[in-house]
Amino acid sequence: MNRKNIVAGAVLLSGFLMASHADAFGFFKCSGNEMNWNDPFQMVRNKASFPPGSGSESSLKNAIGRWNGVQGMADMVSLSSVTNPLSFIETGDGQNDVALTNRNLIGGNNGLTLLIHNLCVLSSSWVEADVLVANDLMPGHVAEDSLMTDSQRVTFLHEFGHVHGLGHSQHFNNMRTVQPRPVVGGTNETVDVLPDDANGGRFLYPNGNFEINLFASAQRKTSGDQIVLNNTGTKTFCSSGGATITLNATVGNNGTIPLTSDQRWWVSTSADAHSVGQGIQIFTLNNTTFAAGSVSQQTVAFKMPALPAGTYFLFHGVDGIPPNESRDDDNAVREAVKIKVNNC
Amino acid sequence: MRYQSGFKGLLLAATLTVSSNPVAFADSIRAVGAPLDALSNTAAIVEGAVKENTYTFDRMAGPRTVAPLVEVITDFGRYGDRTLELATLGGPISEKQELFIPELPQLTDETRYLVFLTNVDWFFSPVVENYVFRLEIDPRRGTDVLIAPSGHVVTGLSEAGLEFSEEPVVDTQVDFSRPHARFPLLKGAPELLATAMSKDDFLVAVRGLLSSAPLQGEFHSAPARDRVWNQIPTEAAPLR
Repeated sequence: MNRKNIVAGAVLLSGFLMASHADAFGFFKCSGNEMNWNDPFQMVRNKASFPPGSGSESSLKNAIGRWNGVQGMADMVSLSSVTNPLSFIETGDGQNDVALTNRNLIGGNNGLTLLIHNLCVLSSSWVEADVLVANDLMPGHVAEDSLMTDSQRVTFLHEFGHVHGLGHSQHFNNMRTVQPRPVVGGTNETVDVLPDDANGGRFLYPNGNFEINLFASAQRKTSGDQIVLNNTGTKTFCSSGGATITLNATVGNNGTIPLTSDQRWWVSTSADAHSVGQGIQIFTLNNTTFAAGSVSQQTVAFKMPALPAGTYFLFHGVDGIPPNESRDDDNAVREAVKIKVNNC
Repeated sequence: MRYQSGFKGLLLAATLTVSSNPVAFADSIRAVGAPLDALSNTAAIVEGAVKENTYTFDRMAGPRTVAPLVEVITDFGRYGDRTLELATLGGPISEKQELFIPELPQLTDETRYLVFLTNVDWFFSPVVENYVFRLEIDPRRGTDVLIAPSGHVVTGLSEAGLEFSEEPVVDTQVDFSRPHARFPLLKGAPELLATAMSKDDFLVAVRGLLSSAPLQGEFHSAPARDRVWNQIPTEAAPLR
């Protein structure tokens, strides 16, 4: 995102609180050694589960593509060119399968990954993975400003974390035990590998490469370990400005090096104004440093500038480090709050 | 834990006792999201202590990790025995390989638990989703508190959901050289245990929720007999 360095029109009033964590992922061990796959492996699709062009095919390909998109982590998984025409998958046959099934058949879970490993003596590795996902989940796009609990895309990404050998970890990540799980901002794909997930993938399959990427999110993790929206409802102000607004904000660094960037907040009557130039900037915060592989949850408070009367969408964006970011379409997010401005 | 003292012997001695009653209370399982969903899938809520996990193998039920609970008491619902075996799918499938399913709850040796027992005809795990909580005494209060499978203590329960500590109190990473070893408490655990909801308060909260979602049905101690562990039928998404 190549925005100009616009001088802030608003004034930071009081709080700027930021919390972050790093290196929080789960994996499995044998005699103290991490367990992983010895070699890249292929997944065989169940033919009926993934019709070409279907949402389920898109969900599956997104999950594989996102995990392989983690720079600094070797590409381990790919789709086999052959498909499984049978109406069941078999575990223990040495073939890695992926399929949809009735929720009743996987114990009510959204997804289930059956892993086989060599018996642990001094070391062990994964040798087979079969993924089953409930067929009643929604395969479509996950809106950036929502809390979706039945997303097939999110479930596939989570199960493929298990396929790689990651365990559960309760942070701002995809390996959380239950949905909703956080997503990144933007109008394109919002279901992506988050910092802790990427850290885990790089730990198990390091290839020495580095990654640069910041993203904004409309979600946050509470101290009670729940994923909630940063901001909700409608906040009402006078057009003359001057009133204080307090906002929660989330920025993630799913790369491998610390990054320093400006942050901006802007409003627009358009729901898709993901560039500050498409709206009216209301606040900027310069030179925030985001640690590598971490998520920063912030609370900012500032005075609203004068604005024309109307109802606005609120956006939060972090400047990218052009042209080096691995993604450039996740830097801005539409928060789940409306800003209403009355003539007064 | 008794571990792999000869897989052939284990096969021959497959000790999984399977009920001959295939009748399920419910033939559908809803996604468990909120606590009311969990309660509607629950036959009984019990407490007990796992002494030592064992493995069994059955041609149909497959490899099972059996956590035997003793000194069982029933907090809610119907469960009359003083012992209980929780037989989760997973374990050795041959002399060389083992099945592991990360989504399923794992119970460790020498550990006390509070468990929500399912009322459906289960196959993978007899536990309702991840509603199995390790019981640990908060040394400051001398009361039992609950630790979730994630390793975080339970700090609240309401219709909206469970709440947990921000950080875990136990390291839940499994080492397959000692797969059933009790997870060690982490540094800082005493402070976090002190913030946890007591078991008694948790049960009071459960009682409050039961008026909206009373327990129903009965618990079947054995997995469904109409399934084969290594063949799972596929089913495409319904047309929307």
